[in-house]
Amino acid sequence: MSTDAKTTWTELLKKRETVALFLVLGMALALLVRSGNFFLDPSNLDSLQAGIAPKAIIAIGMMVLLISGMFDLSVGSVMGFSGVVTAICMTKGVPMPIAILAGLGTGLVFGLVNGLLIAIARVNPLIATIGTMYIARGLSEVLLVRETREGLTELDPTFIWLGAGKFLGLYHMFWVMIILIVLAQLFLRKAYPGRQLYYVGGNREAAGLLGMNVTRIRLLAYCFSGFMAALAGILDTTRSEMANRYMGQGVEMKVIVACLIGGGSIAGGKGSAVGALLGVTFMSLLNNSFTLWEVGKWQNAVLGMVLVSVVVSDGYLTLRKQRALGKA
Amino acid sequence: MEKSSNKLWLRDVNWSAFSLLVVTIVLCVFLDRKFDTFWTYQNMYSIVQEISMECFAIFGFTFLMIMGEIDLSVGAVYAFSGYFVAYLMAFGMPVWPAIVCAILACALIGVVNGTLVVRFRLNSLMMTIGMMLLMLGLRDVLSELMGGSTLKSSYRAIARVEIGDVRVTIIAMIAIILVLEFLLRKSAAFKKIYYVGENLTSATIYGIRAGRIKVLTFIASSVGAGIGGILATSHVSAANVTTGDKLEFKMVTAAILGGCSLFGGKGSIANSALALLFLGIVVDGMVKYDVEVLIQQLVIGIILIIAVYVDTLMNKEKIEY
Repeated sequence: MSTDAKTTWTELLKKRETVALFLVLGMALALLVRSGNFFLDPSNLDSLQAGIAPKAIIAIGMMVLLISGMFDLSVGSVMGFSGVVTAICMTKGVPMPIAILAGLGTGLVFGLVNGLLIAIARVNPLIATIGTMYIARGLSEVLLVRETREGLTELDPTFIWLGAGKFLGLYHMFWVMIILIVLAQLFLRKAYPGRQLYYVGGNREAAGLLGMNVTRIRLLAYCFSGFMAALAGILDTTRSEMANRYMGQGVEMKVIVACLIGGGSIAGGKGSAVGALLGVTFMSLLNNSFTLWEVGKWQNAVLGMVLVSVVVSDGYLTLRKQRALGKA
Repeated sequence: MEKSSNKLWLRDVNWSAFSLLVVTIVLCVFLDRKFDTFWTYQNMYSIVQEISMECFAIFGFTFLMIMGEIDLSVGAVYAFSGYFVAYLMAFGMPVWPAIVCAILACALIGVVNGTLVVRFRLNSLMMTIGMMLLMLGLRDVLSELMGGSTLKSSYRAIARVEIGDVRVTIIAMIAIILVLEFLLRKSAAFKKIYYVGENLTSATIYGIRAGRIKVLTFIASSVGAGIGGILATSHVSAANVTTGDKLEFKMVTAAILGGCSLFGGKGSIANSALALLFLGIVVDGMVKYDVEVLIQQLVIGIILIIAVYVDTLMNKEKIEY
């Protein structure tokens, strides 16, 4: 790192996080200019918070995986399933803390299954997590088999307060997210296990030769991702005050796109927690613009377009880097 | 390739296809014992008829798997093409020009997929997931523009054409399977697909234009899915969102059960089609047992994971991640 002010600035500008920050600011500005009144409406800001917090929590887990060169498509289904498990436990009369632990445990189990399949059995991460995605989705359908479309709605007010209560104008779940982002950022930047993730993602063989237990690191990363998905699912249940089969649908792609925008790479070895938050914020603002500008039907098409362009640019940047190193 | 030693010859037999055939027969015998309605012409015909449309999507898909690539956008393209034809016809375009337009649109999708994957060396899984979302999004747009209007009768007639009591889609499926399987085994041009999948670097050194073959195969995959989707939509009375739903998932499962590998270099058209038939029979059996739709998906998901695990065990040396 150079201490020269000029180089630092250009380096900062080259960072993907900075690009993501400008995207967020640009999107927010566009929303303010075009429909400021609706955008700044308290209920809109509330729904924006509630949209960002669970996705950002999942994105931390996803970023950890992306950094170590993996990813997880089951997060959306696991999120929904954990919410359903927690809600069902509570309606069956299980005390709230135990119900929440059951939900978190569910996520952990799915993370462990993913980890076992991918880190130990070495199954292709995409296929394995697509498989667990369908399994989690199927299981929550089994649990909800006699429920209506709304699903379980009779939840304990204390439980709802846990995530959707407010402190200084922000939802509790938003505070949880902020704390987790800060901790994750510190962990990834400063702690040795955090740095190990980058080594594993950057060059698996070298990391193995340096004596790192690549299998264990990957297994733990998947467990972490499953746990975060479960946490997000429970928090999302508190805010929407219901647990149903639609929760978490399509979230996995949104989170992956957000992480790629925020500086992650499918090739691994890159990314940060702050980047994950910026990416998720951008995606949520984009989503908000669809609602405010009433162009809802284009939503998925634009999401696909964004994903394609992000994947292409990610691939292009990786290829250019490899060419510069003389590897391709 | 000559195999002189007996041991090598044994390894050369495609065991996965063989075992799949055995399992399929065992399953048929079992279901026949359990249900009187299983081994009837009516039931078999409806299973084969269902598969005949999805089968169009598996040809190009298998070629891609042999080359070590994958196209997860097939399901979305399958869904999109049917809608697109219906949409064009809503503007008064006659049925055949509309179909040609839709197939050209699908070819364009293949060009985009292939070019981007080859040019930027993208992970085709990730790239085609993006394309999948994009096409599903476009399908949603089309469906909202059209409302719930039913399809024109000239379009609905296509999948119902029969030659001697057998739907034309079934005849076309069998003919294409035979032709492609023959070409894949005998023709030098199609053999290149295996060489590219087996070892890209040496294939390139021997002057095979791998990039061009890949782009062509991506086009074949999209066009095949498009044709399948047009036929499937023509089979129902109104374009609906369940057409092509999770088809990519079924395609991967069928291809891998049929001996394809995620690591490339292996696979055959006939085996993939057989695996598709196997899955069709499994689903039919589950329907007869009154298994819920979502649990059916669960079962197929578990079959997929097992198949991929076996594939991984057999290709330990090729794992890069």
